[in-house]
Amino acid sequence: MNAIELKNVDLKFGERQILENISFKVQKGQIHGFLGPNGAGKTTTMKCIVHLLTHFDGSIYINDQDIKEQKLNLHNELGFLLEDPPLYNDMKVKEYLAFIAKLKKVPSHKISQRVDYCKEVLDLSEVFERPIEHLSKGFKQRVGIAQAIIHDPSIVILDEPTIGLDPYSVIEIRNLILKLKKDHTILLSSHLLHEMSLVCDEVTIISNGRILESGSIEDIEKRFLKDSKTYLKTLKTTPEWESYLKSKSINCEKSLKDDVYYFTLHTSLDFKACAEIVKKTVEFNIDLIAIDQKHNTLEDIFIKVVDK
Amino acid sequence: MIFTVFMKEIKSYYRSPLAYFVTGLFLLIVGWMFFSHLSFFIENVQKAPVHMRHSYDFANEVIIKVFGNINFLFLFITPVLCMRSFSEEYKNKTIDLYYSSPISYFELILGKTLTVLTQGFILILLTLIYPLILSNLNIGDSSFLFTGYLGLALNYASYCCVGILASSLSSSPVIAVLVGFVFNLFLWMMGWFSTLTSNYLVAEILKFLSINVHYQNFVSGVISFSDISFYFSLFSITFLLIHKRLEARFWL
Repeated sequence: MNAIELKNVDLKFGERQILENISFKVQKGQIHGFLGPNGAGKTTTMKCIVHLLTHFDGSIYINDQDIKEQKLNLHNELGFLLEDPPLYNDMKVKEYLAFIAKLKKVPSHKISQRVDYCKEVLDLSEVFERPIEHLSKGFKQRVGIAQAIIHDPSIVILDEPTIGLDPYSVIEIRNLILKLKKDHTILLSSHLLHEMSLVCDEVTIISNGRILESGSIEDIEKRFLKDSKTYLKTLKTTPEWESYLKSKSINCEKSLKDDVYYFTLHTSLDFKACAEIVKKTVEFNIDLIAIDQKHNTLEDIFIKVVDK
Repeated sequence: MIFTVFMKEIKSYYRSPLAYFVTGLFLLIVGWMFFSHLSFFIENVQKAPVHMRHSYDFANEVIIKVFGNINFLFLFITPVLCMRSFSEEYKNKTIDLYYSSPISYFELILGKTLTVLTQGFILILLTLIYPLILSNLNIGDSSFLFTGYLGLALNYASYCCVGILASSLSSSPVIAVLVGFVFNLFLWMMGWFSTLTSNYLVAEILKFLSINVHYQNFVSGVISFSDISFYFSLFSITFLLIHKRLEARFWL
């Protein structure tokens, strides 16, 4: 079942096309990464999903409901943190969360329960009675996430929640997001591709307002497997050996550095093929130093897709 | 929902130094004005021959003048009280919280308006100390005090609506103050514009649109349907414009 589904979403500001034919799905209970360079249209797409921008063409479904038809019910289904956390600096954390709970129409007998839940999950006890203006950036970000989940929505949308945070806070936010996965579907955008590959089940890559790739990380990696590379380091080479390597990969590069030959095969080889190459080094009397394979990381795939 | 917004806003206002600065400055200026009008009146009465003293009307010489001064002060204070209503919400992106919550625009506008009205009504209530001080004096007909205060409250409410409309137009509180002040000044000066035209109909329309013409009737002790309908039309129109502004989210 899909938690979020976008079908042919188009958005124009005047003559400028901001989003063009955006279609992707976020499955229930998953963490879906939304990747793209600055100005690609990530935040704008997220604003359309949470219905902050309403003048788009196409359809957006949240839990199979068209948001244009069932707007008021959607407030309960969605929680979001877009760009900077929307905080009232003069309020204390506790007071702020209680206010947001009231605004989201959480039943009055459940407000303190939900506020305590957020305090616990987001580890806010230390700053709970402090005015928000005195909090560090990391804690402000946590309070921002707390306001997104205070009404227990089924879907949480987080736009670059780790931006500007130190590496320790990034790890903490990552763990928090993984904790939230138990109860929520999460759509997450970030520039930290390594972080995304650690937490996301699926990703969508967007650039210039168009979707370039969408699916599970495994599927996307498989699709880009042909772009993987195999590296070999040997102490010597022969024409027979080189022609053998060329039979494995047409695109085979050779270089010499400090009496070591470096071969790069622009292909991905399975274990069997690798074992065969090792056997052949003995046959051709080639002194093999190392054999290594480099698969495309999410970062490589992102750069390739966006460069296209 | 209206109460939730109201409570949040009023707490926020009284937590800021602005509340105490505005209240202090307002009371200082009004107190000084009251004192100077009163001392001028007493001086004139004492100087006048005994048979002429009855021609000095306390209400006209002191109370109505103080009402006029308070009204003039509100012209400057109201945009400052209103500037935070929406400008700051836009600036801090907290407006998204309201857009993504099950709260109607009407509830939001009413919650914000009630906050600014309460802030101003507290200032008006504080000025009641002057009639109380003078309660042992023979003011004559004190009914104009009630109509005067009613007129002042309605005038303040009009300034508020215009100020909140100005605040909803910009994400800069400073611009909101300036625009609010200019709008209110324009409403104030409408009566003066009517003296510039020789066309009777245009002059009458301009007079009707002047907030001061209606206010003067209240201060003189007159409550008319025309004046009340003017104020309520102004409230309705500004509410409608703020509502339309909030609906047009793509401006943000």
